[in-house]
Amino acid sequence: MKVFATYNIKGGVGKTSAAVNLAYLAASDGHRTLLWDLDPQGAATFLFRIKSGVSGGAKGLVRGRTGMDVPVKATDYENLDLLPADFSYRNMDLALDHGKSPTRRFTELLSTVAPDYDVVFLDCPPSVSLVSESVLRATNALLVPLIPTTLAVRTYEQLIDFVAKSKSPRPAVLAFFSMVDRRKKLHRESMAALRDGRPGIADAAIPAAAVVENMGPKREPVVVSAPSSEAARAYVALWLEARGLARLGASNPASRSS
Amino acid sequence: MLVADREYVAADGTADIDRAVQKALARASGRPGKHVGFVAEPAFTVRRTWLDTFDWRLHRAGFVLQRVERSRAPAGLRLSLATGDDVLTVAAPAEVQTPRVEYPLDTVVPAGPMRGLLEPVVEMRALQPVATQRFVVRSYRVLNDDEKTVARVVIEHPTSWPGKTSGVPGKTSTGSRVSIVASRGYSEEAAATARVIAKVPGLTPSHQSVLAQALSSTGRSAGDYSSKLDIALSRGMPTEYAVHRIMRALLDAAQRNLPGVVAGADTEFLHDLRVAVRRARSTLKVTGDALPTAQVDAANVALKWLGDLTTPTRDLDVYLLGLDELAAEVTAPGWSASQLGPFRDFLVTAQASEQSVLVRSLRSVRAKRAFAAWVAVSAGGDASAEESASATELPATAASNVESVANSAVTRAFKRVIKAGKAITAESPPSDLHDLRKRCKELRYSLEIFGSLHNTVAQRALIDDLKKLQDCLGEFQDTEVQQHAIRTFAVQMLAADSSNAATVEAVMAMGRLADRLGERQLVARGTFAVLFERFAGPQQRAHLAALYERVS
Repeated sequence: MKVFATYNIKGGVGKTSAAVNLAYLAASDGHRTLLWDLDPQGAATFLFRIKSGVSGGAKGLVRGRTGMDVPVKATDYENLDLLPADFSYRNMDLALDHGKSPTRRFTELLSTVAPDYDVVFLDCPPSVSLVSESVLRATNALLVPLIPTTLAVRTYEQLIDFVAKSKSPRPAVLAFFSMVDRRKKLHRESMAALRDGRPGIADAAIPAAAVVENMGPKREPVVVSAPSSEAARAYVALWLEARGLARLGASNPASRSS
Repeated sequence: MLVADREYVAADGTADIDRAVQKALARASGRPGKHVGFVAEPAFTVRRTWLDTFDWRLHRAGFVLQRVERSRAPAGLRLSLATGDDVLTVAAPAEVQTPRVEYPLDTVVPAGPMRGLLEPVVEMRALQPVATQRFVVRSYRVLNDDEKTVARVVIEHPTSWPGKTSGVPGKTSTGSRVSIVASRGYSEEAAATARVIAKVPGLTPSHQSVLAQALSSTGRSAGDYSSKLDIALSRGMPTEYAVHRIMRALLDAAQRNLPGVVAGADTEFLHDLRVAVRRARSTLKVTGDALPTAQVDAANVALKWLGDLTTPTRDLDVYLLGLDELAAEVTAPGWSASQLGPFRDFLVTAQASEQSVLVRSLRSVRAKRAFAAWVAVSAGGDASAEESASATELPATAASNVESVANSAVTRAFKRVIKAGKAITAESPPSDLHDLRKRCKELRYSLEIFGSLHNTVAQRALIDDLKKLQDCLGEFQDTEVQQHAIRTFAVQMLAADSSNAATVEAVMAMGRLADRLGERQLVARGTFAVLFERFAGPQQRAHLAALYERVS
């Protein structure tokens, strides 16, 4: 089982949009995929038309009173399930801190669903917390959306530093530009500045596009609602890079063309 | 996706089930405790071809594997595996888009979770189509207040079906199936939908799977072949009748495997053919007096010829089947299984050559005569008349009933195993163990052939321990033969191509395989004493006595 997480210290940078679209693409590759919406706001849960709420909340899951598979719901897409958000996830740090080896607990929890899934996506809340540290230990590939501004270099370096200082095992990191407006000189320059000599920046960049914003009203991944759009193509390219980083094969190479 | 929670089938003559289902869903929409709405999806056609091994390994494991060809997105050929509580789907690899007679597993199912589930069940067998059926499919997505799909109502209209006159939905729905498929996490909503559908006139709960329904039109049923013997004999049956029945069942097994042997579909067709031949020889050996001598003599000659004919191909099959496992056991420094490439190629070429000799021989006049001799001891076409004859109407030639023949055959075979086994010491040559192995096979065949006459629990207990002893003796003999064979193969390979560095490297690697076989043989020899002591102990004698107890 390969674990991907979309994460950034900052909010509103396209984590959930990436998680929803990439999880869909993993599933359409034929991988049995689970998306865990860890953000108490529940945006990914909403986008898949599923109601937030997990019986027993964060505490029940972390302490093992609620089996990880129990709250799982099917999305409307083949091979793709969702573990919904719950408002109590805002207190997940406390629940984790209560037990022994809190940063290992996440890995243990995910191992219980390993027989059922090939790929897990974690859509993380924007913070630096015990949850983030736990996610880093449990994840094979950390996907970091960056808005191309002058602060992007600083954000990226903070994050690399955070990963480097986290407990082993550490994930491979793939940063990618999100909400890109190539008409803006600042965006073009920021992207060039960040890419200059730095490894781990994806070639794929997600554009700022109405089709991405429309995921809210349509409640569908862009790769479903507008599959030939520039944004959908960018998500496909990003998924190919992320898949390669995690050394995940295309179990079902024919499925996307079918 | 989950498997269908509930399935209904339309009774004969039911008209337009689609409209009835649609009406029922519309009536329930928006009502308290029911769904908010539903969406009809465009109709499409689907051709389902069910795959299984010749001996129904998937069916026995509770799996249902289908090639599903849909006319609507996701179009193309997909594979679907139902494992009891879940369904996995993947796109079929491009190389298996065309229907075939047999499908080696690794060419049908791409590497991944589905193949991972299938490999330990299918093992070395190929998959074959067991039934095929085309359906027109209409489905309805049942929605909650978030417009989330909570269940699907799927109607499948078979386009040709026993008793069905039209494949056009709306004309007649005989044999059409209506399934309610719950989305994971929405079982309550799906149950509510099922309650709505259950009230649709003309639908009755289905007690037969769609595969069983499709098979019934072909006259087959799932699990209708097994290499395990199940010959119904009765204790008072004249031996002559019983022998005919046994020989007929074995002939049937041989004939059913023959096309697979000729096609080279997988190794087990030949294995099962050989087992049928050996069982038949064993049957004649212990019961031959009940039939005319000339018939038995002719059949014995024919069966020996058939058995010998198949040996070279089977030996090479065995080498190839065990090569990877054997190579994986070698731990010498610098060892790499890839060094064995030329050896594998040599075996594959030799197997192909022996296989073509075998096929030619099986198509020969001599083979036809051999099977005719087998038919002669199987009572030819008199089977039904014979089976209807009363067991009390003993023909003049029947000297005894089958029970006494069976019991004395088993007892004699058991005593011979014990006698031969006790004579084996640490100094005994391998040929003594080989002879004991043959005695064990005779006992095993007698226990299996006459199984229906005996106490099942005692029979199973005897066979369980006998099987362990046989496995040990088989390992000892196979490793003995294979060590010699490897040397012979090495000589042949060097004679053909001694200047090739890869061949020389392969021959050196084969030496390590031979060493490993020698180690395994020593282990088998060490294990033998323990297993034989257990088999010769009082427990097995008690099982033997219990074998003949009459069960009221």
